[in-house]
Amino acid sequence: MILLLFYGWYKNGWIPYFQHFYSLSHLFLIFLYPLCGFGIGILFDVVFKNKNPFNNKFYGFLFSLFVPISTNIFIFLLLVTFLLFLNTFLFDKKDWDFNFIVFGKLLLFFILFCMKSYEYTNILEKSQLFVYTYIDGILGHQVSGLFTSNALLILFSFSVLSFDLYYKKDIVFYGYVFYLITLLLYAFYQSDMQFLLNHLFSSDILFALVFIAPLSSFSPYSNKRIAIYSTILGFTILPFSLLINFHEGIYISLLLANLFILFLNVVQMRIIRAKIS
Amino acid sequence: MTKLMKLDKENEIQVKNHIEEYLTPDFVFVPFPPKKEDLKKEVYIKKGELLYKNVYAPVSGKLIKVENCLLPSGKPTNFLVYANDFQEKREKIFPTRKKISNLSKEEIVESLYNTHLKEKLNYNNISTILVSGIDDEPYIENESFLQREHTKDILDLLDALLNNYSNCKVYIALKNTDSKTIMIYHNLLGSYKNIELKLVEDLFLIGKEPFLVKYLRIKNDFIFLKASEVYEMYLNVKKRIPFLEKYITISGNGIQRRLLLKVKLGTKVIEIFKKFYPENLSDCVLYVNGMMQGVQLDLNQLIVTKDLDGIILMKKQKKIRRKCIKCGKCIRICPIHSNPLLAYKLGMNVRCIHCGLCTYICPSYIPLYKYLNGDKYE
Repeated sequence: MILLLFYGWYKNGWIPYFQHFYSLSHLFLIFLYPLCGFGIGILFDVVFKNKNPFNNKFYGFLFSLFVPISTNIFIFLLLVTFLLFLNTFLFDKKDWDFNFIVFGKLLLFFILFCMKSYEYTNILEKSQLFVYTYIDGILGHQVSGLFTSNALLILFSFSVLSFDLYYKKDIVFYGYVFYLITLLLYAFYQSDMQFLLNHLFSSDILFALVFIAPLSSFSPYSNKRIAIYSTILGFTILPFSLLINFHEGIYISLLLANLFILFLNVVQMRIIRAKIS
Repeated sequence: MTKLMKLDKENEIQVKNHIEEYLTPDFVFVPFPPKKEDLKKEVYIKKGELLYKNVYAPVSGKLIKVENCLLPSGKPTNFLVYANDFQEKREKIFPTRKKISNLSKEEIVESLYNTHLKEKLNYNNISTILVSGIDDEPYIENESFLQREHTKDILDLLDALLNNYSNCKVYIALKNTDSKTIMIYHNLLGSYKNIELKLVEDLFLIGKEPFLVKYLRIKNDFIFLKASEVYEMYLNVKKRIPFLEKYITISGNGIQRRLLLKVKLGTKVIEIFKKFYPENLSDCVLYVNGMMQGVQLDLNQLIVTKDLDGIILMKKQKKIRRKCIKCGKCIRICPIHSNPLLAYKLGMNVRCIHCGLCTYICPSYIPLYKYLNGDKYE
């Protein structure tokens, strides 16, 4: 994540500054998002005495990584506060495994869309001074969230995380395999190999798959549910991405898979409670 | 079958190479018989005397009182307390058999004192006798030491058994890390036909019957025996005495002097500790029967029974228990595919073999074994 952070700063801060698109103050402005997310998280952890390992400061930081570059810092602050508040007083208390980060991302999309300031391209990409190749895209020159543009670094993170005993790598693996199947089918159907290449290593999709989908607190833990979750996720990424866009499509899939698992949990709980009583 | 896992162990925690003995306890504790009518009327008992089914007097002495103490499982039970007169008077003395290889199966079964072992030998068409010489629990080394001390005795008994089953093979399973025991067996096995060593990986629970049978791909018609059970049979058949003394391991990183002790059944554990560990052990966490499958008990009340394998004393560690992060590792690691979270969250009765793997793997340090044992859920 630290590498992603620095690459995001290089792409969205350093290069535009070096090309004289940004002033020196703009160069470090980009770090305000993760700092604010982390800071609000710490505040929540301290005030509400949260001792969970997956605590608010982690969520606050994670949320800052994939926001669009056009996000107003005040909107970001308000949204992170609102989301952490919602998590602390509703989802966490009721023990609902609702993925509020995904919900927050879609809420942000809706807000920015209404404000007509929805934009993922930075000032350099807007100017279209450079023409990047497909390989440049994989190496990080993709239009993407603030710190999520380097697909290679995300894949590297996944390979490192895979050695973690508690990381649910099955979700990432099967989710991506199912996404790949739909992508291949669609590309063959459309006879558009360029489309396949363009979205094979889409950093937004990879980031959500590697960092958001397997988050312990919001993803299923039994083998059967992991299979259901990954299937729903993998097979719906492409349809939603085509329907909306490739930045937000996967988050709708994630929300859908998450809600379906929540529904299964509720049904199972009711059956068990009825059996016990 | 779930893939069994290797546990992280501190390699420097090892028992010394020789066995210490504590065979003269002041008192011995015999669990109260399950049926009241089985209670012996005589106040004086002789060594080796049958007290009730499968329970024999470990010493000679006089009944002085009844006391409530703990079994190694943690269950409080009433015990009959006998004061040892140190006379070692025996009720009957049978002469030791010079040769056991020519004994018939009936004679072997007849010689056994334990009905549980008799039942095990009651099958006729046996193709394999599987002997597990494996200690599953980390830092407990009873089976290894017992085999090293009594290799020839174990092999003699197995040979006698083999003579009674046609086309039968004996497999002795050992961990491939137990090099000392492997070496001793290798030196002796040449003169025993149809007895083979099977080396297995150092995996937790591999010594248990269902997992070992699957690992070695042994089909039906087998008898499963622990090495200690084979030795018990040897004592019964060759020396014609009941099993009255037991090996226990006292180990862990909380103590410097790690021992393998030979003790009388019915000895109070605190008596052993007073002799071997006079120092203060209050800064240690104590696990009876190991860190994985064992329990934390009060040593003052604990009695050595057949079920006690050892006591592990570990330095206290600061482990702050946190909320469940729903990683699901406890479910995926469970060797019998149970869901410990159902016991933790809903208080459900969940199938459990009490292996302790779920507690071991939990990143939030939730003592899941407590909930699986029926503690109040959250």
